[in-house]
Amino acid sequence: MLKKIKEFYILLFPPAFWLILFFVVPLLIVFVFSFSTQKADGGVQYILNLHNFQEVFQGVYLKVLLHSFFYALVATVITLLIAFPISYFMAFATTKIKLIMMFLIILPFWTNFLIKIYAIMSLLGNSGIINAFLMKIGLISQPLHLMNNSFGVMFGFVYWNLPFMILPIFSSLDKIDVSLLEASLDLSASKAQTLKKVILPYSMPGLVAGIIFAFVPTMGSFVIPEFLGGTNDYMIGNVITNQFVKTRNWPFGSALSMILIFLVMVCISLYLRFYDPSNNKRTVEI
Amino acid sequence: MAGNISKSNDLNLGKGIFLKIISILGILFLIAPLIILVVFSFNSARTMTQWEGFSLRWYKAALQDETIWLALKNSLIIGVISTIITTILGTAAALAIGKYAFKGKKAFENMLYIPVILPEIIFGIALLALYAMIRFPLGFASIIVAHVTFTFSFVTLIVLAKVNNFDRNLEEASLDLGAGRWQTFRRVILPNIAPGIISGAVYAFTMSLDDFVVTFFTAGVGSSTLPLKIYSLIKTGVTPTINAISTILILFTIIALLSAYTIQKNKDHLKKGTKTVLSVFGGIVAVCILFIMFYSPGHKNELNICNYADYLDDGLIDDFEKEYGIKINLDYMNDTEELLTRMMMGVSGYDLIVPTGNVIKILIANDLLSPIDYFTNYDTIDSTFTHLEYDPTGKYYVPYAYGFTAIAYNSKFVKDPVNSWSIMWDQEYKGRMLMLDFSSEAFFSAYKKLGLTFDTNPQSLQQAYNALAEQKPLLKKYESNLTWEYLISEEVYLAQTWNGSITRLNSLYPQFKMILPQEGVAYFVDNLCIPKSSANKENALLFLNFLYSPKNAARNMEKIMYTMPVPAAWDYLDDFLKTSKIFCPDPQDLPPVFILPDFGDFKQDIDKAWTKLKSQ
Repeated sequence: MLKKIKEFYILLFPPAFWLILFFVVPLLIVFVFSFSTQKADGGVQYILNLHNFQEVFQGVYLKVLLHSFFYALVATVITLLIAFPISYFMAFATTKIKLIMMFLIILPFWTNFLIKIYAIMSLLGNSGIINAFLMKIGLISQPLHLMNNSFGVMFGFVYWNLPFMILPIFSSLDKIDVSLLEASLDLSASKAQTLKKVILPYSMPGLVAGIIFAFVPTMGSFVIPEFLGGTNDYMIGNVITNQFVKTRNWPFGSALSMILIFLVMVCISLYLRFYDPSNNKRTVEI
Repeated sequence: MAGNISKSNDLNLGKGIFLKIISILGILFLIAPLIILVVFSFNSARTMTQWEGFSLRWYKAALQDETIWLALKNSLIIGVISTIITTILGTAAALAIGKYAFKGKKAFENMLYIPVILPEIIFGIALLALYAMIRFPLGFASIIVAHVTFTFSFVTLIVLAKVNNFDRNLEEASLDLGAGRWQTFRRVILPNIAPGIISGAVYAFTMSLDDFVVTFFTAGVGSSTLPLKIYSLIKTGVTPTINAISTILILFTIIALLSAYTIQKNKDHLKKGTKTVLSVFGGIVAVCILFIMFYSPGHKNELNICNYADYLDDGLIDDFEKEYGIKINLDYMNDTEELLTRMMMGVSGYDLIVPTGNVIKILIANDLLSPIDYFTNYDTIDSTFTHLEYDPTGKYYVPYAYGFTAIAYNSKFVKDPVNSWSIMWDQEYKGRMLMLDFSSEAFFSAYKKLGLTFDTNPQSLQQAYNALAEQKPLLKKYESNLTWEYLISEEVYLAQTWNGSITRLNSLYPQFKMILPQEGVAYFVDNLCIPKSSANKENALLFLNFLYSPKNAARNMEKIMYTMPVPAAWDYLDDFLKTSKIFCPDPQDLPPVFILPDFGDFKQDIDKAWTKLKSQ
């Protein structure tokens, strides 16, 4: 018995200690920072007040927050609309096609994030491939503006998120028992009914995971708007990064971070309440 | 065909033509950008618009760039160490949760799961805040801690899935049969959960290698990883070298995927031969990783310079390295504020930095600079620059280069250039203009356009803010690094930028010219300073002496195309620079010049207005 308790402590303490020291404490520091003020030389002055939050809720930053939320939402929906048919097709394809498609999806999934952004820049830029091609065949005489605007940012988000969405949805769909589908169709349910009553519920765990994996990183993104965005595509991640790296207003950056955390948590818990994935035992599929 | 028919062919599900088309298009969308990168890495031309023939020059450039190898080495060291730590911690956590019921288990589980759903940026800034509080130096350790923290939860979740599937009776049996706890762990539990641990470790390793965001906030000097390196390559100017690096990395990914697939497929009935081949292959990969990790170019004698990109002649660096046997490592910064943040965070390891005057003031006040000893060629420096307002003693800095901010324009598209900042508010060039991504530069131009004095009057600030807000919809972007690329690709016709930059553009493409706004231009002096923490002060002095010999200064000026305050160097300059009116305008053409003052507290108001403007 004693040995068992000893083993338990050896197992529990190091991870718990690590998480408290490097996850909980840092978040608490950010929490405290968010109620402090910036010193003239950029340091943090611990006069507790609500200035930072008041500033956030005075208009402009609220707009950035909403803007980021809106971008994340739209990007997630577009990604979902593309990802679901692909996953569906893949789940019912022959093994060979399944394998080839899997390979072609995992390849960009594993390619470095910045390289993907660079690839998009060389695709969409004024002297990028698309414009060069369209001009060569004489379809356009002036390059199209495909980058440094909302289109470029959205393109970037969808490209970035697509594999993260396809893989979990596919792995849920792939697990569906054929006999269930047969039963449904045999019992004279139409294809649409089968999709709604059998396939959709079964794909739920993958959908939940995919949507979270697309929504959350998009919400906090700052690199994609930086490279692919224009003057109107500033997102909450850019404001936070600037506060920490450039203007050194850490308290204000912390306040924005706290709000971002809060927003993400609220969205996810609302969402999970709405689509409770726990009726299927699997949680987040990785 | 027989074996390939999948489960639903007879049900006719998933066979619609619409599905087929969207799937093909979707896959094409995913893969096309990567194919383009690979194809154009073999293009001998610099641009993507034209194919000028097959060439391996970008591969040569990438492989010869030592900083890329160093970054790869750093990535591997950080990846391996953080994977080991995170796998041990994650496995322990999974076993604790899977095997025991205890008080506070729910809280512990929440603590584990929340990191999975937090945006990465939160990890970055929170750990940065912690490091700043406890004065933990930024470097390898800080990145490793960060990587362990954000991969930890994923490893735990993956291992936990295996622990939950593990039959507890086996453990009981082992203990009943007299095996010790450790023995039971090694012989019974570990083999059963090993697949989970391995996939957790692989996942952690790839996440660590790939991470940019968290590393961006927690990296220090000399610990730049490959993703950070790629970021700075993209940020400071697009060259096909990135295509070459990308292609190598993509190739690596393909090999990894294919070998993982082969192993998976033949797992159960591996022939002995295949097994040997696989283990030899694995061994080679491991040796390569170890070699790169411990490979060091073997320079004990170093000089670490933190500078802007393209702000120091490479040829000069090579000559200095040869002559003195000192290896120069260059680290790039995007702006002087970023440098200040790094210095205030206690980042050490630089021997020479390039701050502006206002930053020098703060650095001196915080005792972060070392006085610079006399060196022979100090006497070549124009004495009007050696005791400027930000350090009247002249002890802490050597003036490096100076210039002013003006407007670059493409004469092919801008037919009637007006010598005024108001051209940057011209509706005609909507979407064809760039302003610098610096609060002081942007506000300065707005103040001047309105005819206001750039002082601490809050009303003027509001007016300038309104003017900038009115300008914002007309701009393509606020951009300070890729100005060149935007101008050359004719994406924009007008850009606020520095005169040295315009000179270089003009020397290569004569259609680019300069507008000198008659309301006034902002003048800057960049300086060289030695941080207090520098470990190679003698080398820094040697380099300064080398740089300020008039001949070398001239060479450097011909490369960077900004003026150095070394009058004797003018004799050595080439004709282009000597006659360039952009490099050095005639005195009668020069509008009033202003040095951007140190506003103290008011700087915060400007920064706030700037943040607000960009968020608007």
